[in-house]
Amino acid sequence: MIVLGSIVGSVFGAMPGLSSISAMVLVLPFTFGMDPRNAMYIYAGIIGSAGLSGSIPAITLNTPGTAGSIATCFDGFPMSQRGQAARALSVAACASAAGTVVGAVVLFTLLPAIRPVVLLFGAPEVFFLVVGGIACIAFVTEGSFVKGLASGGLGLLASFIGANSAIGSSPRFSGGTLYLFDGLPLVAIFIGMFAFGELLHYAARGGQIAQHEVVLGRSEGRGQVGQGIRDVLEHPLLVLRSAVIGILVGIVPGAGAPTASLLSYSVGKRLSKNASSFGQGTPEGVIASETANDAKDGGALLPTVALGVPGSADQAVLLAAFILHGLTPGPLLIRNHLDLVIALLFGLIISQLLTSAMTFAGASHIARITTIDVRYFAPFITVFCLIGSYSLRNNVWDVFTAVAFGAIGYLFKRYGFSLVTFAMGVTLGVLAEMSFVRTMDIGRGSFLYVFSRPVTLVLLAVLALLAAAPRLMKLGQAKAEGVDAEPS
Amino acid sequence: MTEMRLMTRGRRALGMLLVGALGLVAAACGEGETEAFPSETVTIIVDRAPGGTFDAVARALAGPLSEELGVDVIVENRPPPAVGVSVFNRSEPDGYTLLAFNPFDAIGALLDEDVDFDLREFSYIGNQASIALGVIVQADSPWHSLEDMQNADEPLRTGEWAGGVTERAIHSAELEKIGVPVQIVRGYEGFAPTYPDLLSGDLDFLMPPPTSGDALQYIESGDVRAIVTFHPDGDPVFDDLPSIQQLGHEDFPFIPNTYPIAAPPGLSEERQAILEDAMQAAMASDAYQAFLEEFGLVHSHDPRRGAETLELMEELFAINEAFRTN
Repeated sequence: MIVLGSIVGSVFGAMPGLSSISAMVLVLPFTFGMDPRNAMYIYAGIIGSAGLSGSIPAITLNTPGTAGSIATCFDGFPMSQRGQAARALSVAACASAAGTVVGAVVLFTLLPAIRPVVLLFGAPEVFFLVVGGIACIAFVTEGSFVKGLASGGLGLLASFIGANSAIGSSPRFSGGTLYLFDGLPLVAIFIGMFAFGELLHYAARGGQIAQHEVVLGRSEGRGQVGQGIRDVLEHPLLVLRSAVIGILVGIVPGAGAPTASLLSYSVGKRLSKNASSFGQGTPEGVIASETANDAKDGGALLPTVALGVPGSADQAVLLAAFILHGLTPGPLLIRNHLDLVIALLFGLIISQLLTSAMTFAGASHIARITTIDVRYFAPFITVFCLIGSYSLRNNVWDVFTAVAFGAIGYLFKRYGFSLVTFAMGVTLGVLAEMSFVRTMDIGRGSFLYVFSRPVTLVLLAVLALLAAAPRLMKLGQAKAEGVDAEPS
Repeated sequence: MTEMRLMTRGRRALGMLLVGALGLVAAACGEGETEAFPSETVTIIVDRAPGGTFDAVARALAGPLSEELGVDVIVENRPPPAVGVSVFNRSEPDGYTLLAFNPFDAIGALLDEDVDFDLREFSYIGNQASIALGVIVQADSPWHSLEDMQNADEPLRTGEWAGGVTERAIHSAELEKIGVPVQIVRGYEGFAPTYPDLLSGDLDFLMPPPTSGDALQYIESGDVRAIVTFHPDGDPVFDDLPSIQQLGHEDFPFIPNTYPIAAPPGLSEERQAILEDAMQAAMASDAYQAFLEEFGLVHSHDPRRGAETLELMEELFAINEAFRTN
């Protein structure tokens, strides 16, 4: 069952626009008659495999297969352009496996005390987490700082389109159209800006993705896969930090996979000694994004099983599956059906390891796509992207949105505006607004109470440290050099 | 002369051919009209993302309904609500497209937005459940009765996840009228995320159906307590749970959460009857009853037929409109 789920999840994850949510909705009716444990294995297989599979088109084609693999594009694709697609895929596979294992171990460890941990993250904590993410726009800007900030601001503006429960039932900036009632669809934006934008770029330029002459023979492929594994092993701190970010974001209901990977990427860049190499094709960028993207699954399972609150959109479908199997997630689930929770965890780990093993084995073959002239496969990618955009909500306007953002993405690239900061703005804007309104309402109009909450204070301290990190690192470096220089 | 005869014969033959062809077309049309219904897949549009209660309830109905109708019944999620209902409203009224929706969202969209549908014109197939709401508080909360809440020094916070005039917005206003100070906390994405804030003390009370899945589970686990139900006849599960009307507030409105199933306006009476019968049978099936039992909806089971469901919708519309004008 886990293998079956992993295969379904891999296919859906690798197709732009389709995701673990589409896969789970598709298999939902087939699992009704199954033993709940087998059904859980299938769902765990899908959740575990879709994240990594989504990074395959992100790395090779700059097309995020799922929204969570958006940040993997930033460095994965430049690696492919340098002829290192197999290495990038290997990094993603290894980092994803590490993320899933850490996430699952944390979930397992916290099972006895799961509820107090989840309850620590209320509206003020979410607000500071998200504000931290928005502040990171300043850290991840590459090229012109002003253009980076402008892109982030445009992303924030785009995120405010539509209605949400913080502002009431009347949508903003929707132009009176029902289509924009619920805002712009994130995945269609990502498909448009990254996939279509890139396809347009290549249509104008021609040639293959790998800009260097690459010979992907068996030994070269193996070499890149081995190098990818070493890249991850050489950055244990980055893996651990990204996993923690992924778990934290996973615990927050509604934050989702793109928030996890974008936050982790931003923090990874901020704290890296090679910050300038981010966005140019550094394995560190892929590690930060992929580890968090998969560790998030473990974190998101915490509120799902402990309180019946879905930590992510795919876990909302998992909740439906629980309910249709006669199980109500909440305080009694862990007490009465601990075996099912453990089955989920087990399935998640096995599925992730299987998908990673398949990616290691197929990395050099998959990487060959980067050595083929784009003209030959661009039509297929275009069709997949169009189908993917449509299938998000069965709405043809989502296809037009993707195409429109394709043109915007092309113009962004051409005139040096940042796709990364735009993606961060559009992902985090509404989340920040909703958590702020909730924070103020809970405080009955006052904000001061947030400073009496321990997790908020910790988050504020982390944000301050993050802001000061480069200076502190420089000071530390200078001191070390000074100590080294003294004896001579 | 012979030529004229030939021409006449030719015209007759052509005429007969035309008559024959018309007869065939008429026969084909007649066949179309008497075509067995249903003969294709029936789609239930749910105007929410997969995973919520509306989605689960519609999916629980789809299986037994498929058995009754003898064709596949699939659930298609078309969020957001205003869009899903609008797409449904533009579908052919042939009985192959149905809608499971929250009437309050549709009423709100109709009264607030420029939408192309009016839920009072839909062809209703039936209603699945009508769930009474109530007040629950955290187990350690200082409020043990409605009276305690009426004596609160500062506004009591409750969570809201939908904009506009909802059942909870109306109930909050009604609670204020009877002296319970209420502050609505906005910014939630759905009902479930309000529970952690109740358990952590960031919210003071919630207004879910006390006897449905999640609230019932929290009550059974001892994490929360039910204070009062908004059902005039009391609670079917908790005998000692007082009804707000029985506590002296007879005018407090009973506004249930309803789960109607509709077809687009203009469905033929014949097909409506087939669908209504099938839905009634599906709701009586063992599989559906088992779902109600497991999800804590047994007492909220309200298997109305189409005409009664339309009456219920008109009542809810009137309540909503009256609240806005007051």
